[in-house]
Amino acid sequence: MEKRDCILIVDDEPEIRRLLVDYLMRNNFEAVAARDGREMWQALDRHAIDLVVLDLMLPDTDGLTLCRELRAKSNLPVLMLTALGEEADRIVGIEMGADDYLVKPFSPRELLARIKAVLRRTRALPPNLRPESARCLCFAGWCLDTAERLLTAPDGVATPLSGGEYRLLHILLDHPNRVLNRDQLTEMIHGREAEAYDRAIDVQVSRLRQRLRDDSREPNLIKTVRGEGYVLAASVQRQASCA
Amino acid sequence: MRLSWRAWPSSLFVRMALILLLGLLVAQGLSFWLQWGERATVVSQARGQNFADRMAEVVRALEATAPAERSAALATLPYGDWQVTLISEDQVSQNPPRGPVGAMLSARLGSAREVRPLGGAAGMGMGMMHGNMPRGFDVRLQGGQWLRFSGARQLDTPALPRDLILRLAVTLMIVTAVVMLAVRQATQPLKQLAQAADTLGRDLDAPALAEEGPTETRRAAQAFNRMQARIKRLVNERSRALAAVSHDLRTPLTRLRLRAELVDDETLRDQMAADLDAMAAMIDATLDYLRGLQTSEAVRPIDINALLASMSEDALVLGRRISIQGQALAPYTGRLSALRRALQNLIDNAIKYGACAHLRVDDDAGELRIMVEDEGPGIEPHELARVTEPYYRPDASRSSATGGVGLGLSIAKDIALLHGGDLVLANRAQGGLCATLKLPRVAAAAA
Repeated sequence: MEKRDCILIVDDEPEIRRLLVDYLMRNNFEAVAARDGREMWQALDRHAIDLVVLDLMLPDTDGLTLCRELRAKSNLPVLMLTALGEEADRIVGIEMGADDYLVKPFSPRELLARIKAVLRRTRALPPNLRPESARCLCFAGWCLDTAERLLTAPDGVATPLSGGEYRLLHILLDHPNRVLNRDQLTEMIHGREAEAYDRAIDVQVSRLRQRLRDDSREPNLIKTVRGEGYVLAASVQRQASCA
Repeated sequence: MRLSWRAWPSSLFVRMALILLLGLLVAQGLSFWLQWGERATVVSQARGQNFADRMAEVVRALEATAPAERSAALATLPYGDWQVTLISEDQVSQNPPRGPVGAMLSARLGSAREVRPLGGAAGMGMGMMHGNMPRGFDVRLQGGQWLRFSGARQLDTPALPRDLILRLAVTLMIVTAVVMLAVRQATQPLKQLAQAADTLGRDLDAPALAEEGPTETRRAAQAFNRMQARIKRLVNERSRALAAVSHDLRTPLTRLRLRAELVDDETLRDQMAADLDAMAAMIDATLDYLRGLQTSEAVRPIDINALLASMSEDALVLGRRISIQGQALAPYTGRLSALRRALQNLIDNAIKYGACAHLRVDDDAGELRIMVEDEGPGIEPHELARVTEPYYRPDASRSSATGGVGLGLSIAKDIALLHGGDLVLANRAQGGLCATLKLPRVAAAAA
């Protein structure tokens, strides 16, 4: 049997801690809980944690500070929970290095899906290739704000992306100038079912080219490598803000 | 009176300036008129004396001349502006003898002479005093010969000297300037107050008014600043209370959500999850609505076509098919999250009540229109205007079955208004509702 991933829950609500630990255990995860920052550091010392689910509002240090400290010390993926649904909070959470963000009350199944997605995304890359977190990824005059999930064109026009387009672009930007085949792309975007989504990737690439005003017959940004896959032909700068 | 009121300028500044200037003109005119009368008296008196002197001189000279040589002598005498002729008895004016001139003449000659004025005799005495000299006089010389002095020119008061007019004009100009200054001083604070009130509507954190100037102005500014502070406190307290309530509600909802997962009956579990989702959606919608207009989101150019396409693709993941017709010709400058929320609400509404959503884009230089159409039953015509009111639902029983709080359309409308546009609802001829999001291009660029 495969080793189960261990999730650390940091939340000041005892009931939520207990219920979440139960729920994750029932769904093939190991789970540990901590009620504040101090307990979180202790748990990180004692257990081999794979991902931290962090509540934004904690009694001692707030979740954002904790998230930043965690980011400074390790590569551990962080999923932020909050009772505030404000857009600004989500942005700050992502800026502080959270890999994803979920608003309470969340559906437990959604949490499960997000945990799996974050683990998948961070695992897909060898540790030394894990991109350091940066809010903005800029390439060829374009800029992708990962906090606002917003693409800005070289002429400053905000170009909204669908969830699929955003994930695909994000993955391509994490691997500039590297050919990614359909299986890899499908795996990173959707999880396992590579074959079923095979065509979907091509459709998604052509849509994304349209958003990037890239000619699909002679693309300059997302190039097709015949028989292999797709490659983003541009250098990517990681920046704190999209200037 | 009412008619002339309409022509009355609306600006307080112009009104006050006009009133003060009018008063000034009337006062100046009155004092001028009084001065003019006095001046006329002095001038005509002086002229009367002068006239009497000359008359006396002529009479004396002619009386010293033999009657036969008088015509010749007349030619050599200085008459000034007067024409002097010898006349016969039957030509003499029939007016009664004249008092003041006769008296003056007699005084100068040392003995009485009969003097009759020419022309209309009425009010002669007073007329003389005010510069209205008669056209002439007949004087009886000693010895019975009549002499006529006539044709006086330049008998009115001479024109005002130029420097007097200049003085008046300068005074008028100075006073006008002072009046303008004073009135501006009085109306300027009002203008600032109006501006501040306008700004407050958009930005609660606008800087306070300067509390300076005259007492009344200062007091108004202080009152306004206190009001602004109170409103700000109220809004902040409300926001804090809302955040607290939403947080406090979300925590038990999260617990419930997790507990629901423990229910073994799958149907029951799904139903509970759906109820909890609906409750969470209500909290979100209410917070969204209350937050709505105080959005601080930046205005930026947005690729509307990409926005609609991305929303349609995201909907497809949920199994909802949204068609898009037409396209925006140029990026629209506005608030992205707000517009996305407005469109999402309209689309959700169309799918909830109308089973599907068709998007139509109609664009020109002046206005971008995004129509969201469905094929549902539409809305009763008399309800069309009311459904955008917060918490209003045309058919409560139907809506509660489908969930929702009745805020979606209100939020969409508020967002349209925020962009200087509007949300217009109409029933389609072929059935279903058409919600049109009207977004003017000019207003958004200025906002």
